[in-house]
Amino acid sequence: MSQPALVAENLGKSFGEEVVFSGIDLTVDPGEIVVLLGPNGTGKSVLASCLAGGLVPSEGTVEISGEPPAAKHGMTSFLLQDALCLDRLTGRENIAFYRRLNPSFTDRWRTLVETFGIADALDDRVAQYSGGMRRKLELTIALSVEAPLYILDEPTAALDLTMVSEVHHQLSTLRDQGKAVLTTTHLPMDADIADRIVFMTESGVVTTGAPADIKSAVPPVIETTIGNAEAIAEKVIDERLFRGEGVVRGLLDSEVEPAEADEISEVRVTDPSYADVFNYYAHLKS
Amino acid sequence: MSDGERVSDHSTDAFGSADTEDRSTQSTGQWGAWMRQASGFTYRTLRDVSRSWTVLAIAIGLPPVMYLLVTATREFDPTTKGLFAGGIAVLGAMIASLTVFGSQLAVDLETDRFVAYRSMGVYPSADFAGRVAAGVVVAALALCFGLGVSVIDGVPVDISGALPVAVSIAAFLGLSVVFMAVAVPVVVAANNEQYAQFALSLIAVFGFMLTGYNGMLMEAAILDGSTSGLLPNVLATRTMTAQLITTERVASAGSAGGSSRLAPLFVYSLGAAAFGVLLTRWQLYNRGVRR
Repeated sequence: MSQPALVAENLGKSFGEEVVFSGIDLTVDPGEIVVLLGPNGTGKSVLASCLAGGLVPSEGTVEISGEPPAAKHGMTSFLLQDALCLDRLTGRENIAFYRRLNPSFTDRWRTLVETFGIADALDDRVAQYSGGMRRKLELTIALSVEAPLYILDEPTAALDLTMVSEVHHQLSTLRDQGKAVLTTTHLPMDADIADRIVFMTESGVVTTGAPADIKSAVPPVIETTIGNAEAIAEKVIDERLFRGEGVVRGLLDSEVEPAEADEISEVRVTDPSYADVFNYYAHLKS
Repeated sequence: MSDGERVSDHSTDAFGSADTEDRSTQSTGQWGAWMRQASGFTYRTLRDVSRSWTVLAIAIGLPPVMYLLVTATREFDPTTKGLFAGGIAVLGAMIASLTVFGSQLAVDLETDRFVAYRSMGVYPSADFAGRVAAGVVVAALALCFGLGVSVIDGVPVDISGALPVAVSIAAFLGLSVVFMAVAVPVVVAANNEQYAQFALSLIAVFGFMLTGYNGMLMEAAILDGSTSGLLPNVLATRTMTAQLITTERVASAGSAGGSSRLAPLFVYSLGAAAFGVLLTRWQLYNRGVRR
């Protein structure tokens, strides 16, 4: 068994009296993608910053390949959302800056700007970029670094579905090369690429495991049309319904048999999707 | 752009096995990495400032405008005019040093960019040195522009002698380093580009006014002469004026023996450089704080 790329034990971070998180244990192995999933404002970015060496945790320890984070160049590539690029510089100039800053920067950026479709905009100032283009530029910078561990904070935020799939492909390629990847997200679709999901709420890490195990731990889902919502409201946990595309969905209360729910007109019982997993841990379980 | 940073027509996967794709392209030596980081900050700061009209207008344009307004509305004898020209040209260098160094530092702080820098293992001294180098370039432009305007207005400036020019450059460098080190705690306290620019410009203007136009016209000073004479802006301005401005009676106005002021200025700049690096390390690269 190879040494874990990242080991965090009993990690906590506070700013003054404000406790962001505490007691977090986390590992990422080489050749593994761990998706840190959770709602906005739960401290995922601060946790990612602590793991990457951008912040020192208030308690606990972090080791990257057996050493403290940022102890030397090339240990980690860290994408911090909306923080890398300077507006008054062009995309090319921003890349050039990080190329000078990081000794582990490679020529991959040449291919990545083509892949992400921003090659033609490289000589425009970043101030003129859309949110999606900025994210693609930041991804280009982060993925151009050669490192055993990639920590990416919300890499798919502001991207369209096609580009989300492309980012997933890029991360899968890293995994296939034996790199460790930790990515934070609030988008359930990012769970598609996970080898392991860590779900984080304001209470801390509420569950962790393989995607199939996480899904199987979530109750069945009951779904109906928006107009028929009242028919299932009492059958779901906390009587809480979540909107889907033209439907409402809820997680079946443990006291209700799936067969009983299935008999209601215009209602079907189905397996949970990642969106249901997200709703369960973000809004019901906590 | 250097380093061949043109988009090539690679069609392989970004993480493909081609040698050029997988190989780290950077120097791995510690000194090489330090130099590249410092030059990265210098290059980026100069690019950024060259596109910031507010910083350029304040740093390079404001002092000459002040000079022209004052000299157009008041009668000066040639000596006083020469001294005022020297004082206000150095004011330009002070404003440029403070605002150029400070404005981008403030932007980096506002956007939490230091969190990313820390994770990359950026050397705090390379960060400070790179920004200082950029600040020195713009401050030199401001000084030259200020002196150029006064030359056009008839002030005699002599840059033909190698020694006077070298002494003036040394005084200028010392002054710039001191003021850029001063900018670090101000920017950290302001934590906002606009506030930082405003506060830094005020520091330069107050320094200029309190010391009687940087020690050039002591009758206009608020601080007493013995105190003013110890301040770096006064030391640097008197040194440069004595070396470069050839108006008669400059010596009688307190600018004699310019090169002798280099020693305390050298001590100031060394102390400021050490202070600046330490502040950068403690205030900006301290990973215990959210910056």
